[in-house]
Amino acid sequence: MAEAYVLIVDDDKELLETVGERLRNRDIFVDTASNGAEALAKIAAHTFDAIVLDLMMPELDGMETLKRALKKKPDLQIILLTGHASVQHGVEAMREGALDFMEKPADLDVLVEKIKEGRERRMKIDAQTRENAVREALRKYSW
Amino acid sequence: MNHNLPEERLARLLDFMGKVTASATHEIKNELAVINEQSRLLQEMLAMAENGREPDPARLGQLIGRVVVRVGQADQAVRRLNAFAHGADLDRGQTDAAHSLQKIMGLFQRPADMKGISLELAAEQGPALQVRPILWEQLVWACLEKTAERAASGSKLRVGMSKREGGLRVEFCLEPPAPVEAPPPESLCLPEVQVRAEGDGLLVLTTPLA
Repeated sequence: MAEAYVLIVDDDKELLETVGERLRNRDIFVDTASNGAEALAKIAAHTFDAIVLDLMMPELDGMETLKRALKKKPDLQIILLTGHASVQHGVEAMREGALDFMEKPADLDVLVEKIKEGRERRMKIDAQTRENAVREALRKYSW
Repeated sequence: MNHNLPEERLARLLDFMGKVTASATHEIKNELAVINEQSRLLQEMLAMAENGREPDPARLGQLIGRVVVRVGQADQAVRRLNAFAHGADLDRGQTDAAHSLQKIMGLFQRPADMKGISLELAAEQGPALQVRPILWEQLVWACLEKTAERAASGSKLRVGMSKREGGLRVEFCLEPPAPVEAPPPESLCLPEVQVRAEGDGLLVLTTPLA
């Protein structure tokens, strides 16, 4: 069974292919998108444990994709990747709700740890949501 | 470098050099990031082979071929940046306008890619200009930026250079057309060069010929 289900978003197709293959070798189930619009469509259609998002992409950049994705699914676990890390971008990404921010080339073992952290967080949120729904049903029927 | 420039001009020049350097180094870093991933994957495939999982020779060959291509692309990006950096060393002299345009358009490729636009240059081998290369290149960059400002994704930015009586004519326009809001600031202009909006694009006229 896969350790996690992740979406990688980058405009460089060779990078997507290579990182995807390395993650699959670590039992991560990988889907890819080569731009922000494609990523948003896949995010709307599937439930990912984590999204690994490149900051610098043509047209819809990583930060804008992050904002739009979190607006639709606030519990998404997004890890922003960039070729030019700066404290400013990191702070902005975290403020917008990113799980973390890493500089390219990311250490894949660290990235895998972050992806697993994203999965755990998402599962906790899911469990909490289910528990809240049950409590609400119990309260509604005065059980 | 141009120490005798007015302060505002010098500030704009530094800004230009910063933009070009940031863009070029980002491009190089991206190539290195891909090369890093490909090399690590090769390393992992060899490690898996030691544990009995035979690597696919075709896949190994494909990956190595791609590394070679990406190293070549990184090398080209470094060469462009290096040529640009050395242009700043040169004082007023004979600037090969066609070569200069080609160099700056190469450096502008990344900002163009980020906007989803393609670049096309049609330049006659022109006469040399008696201008400081770095200031001419700054003006060309500013014209590219101004023309690209309102370009829709999928547009083509065309630059055409031809000889005219007493100088050169360089046109910047978009396909499909989108009007340029304003030419670059006057402070970027050189005594030998005029820039004006014409039609939907920009027109640069130079005099005199070297």
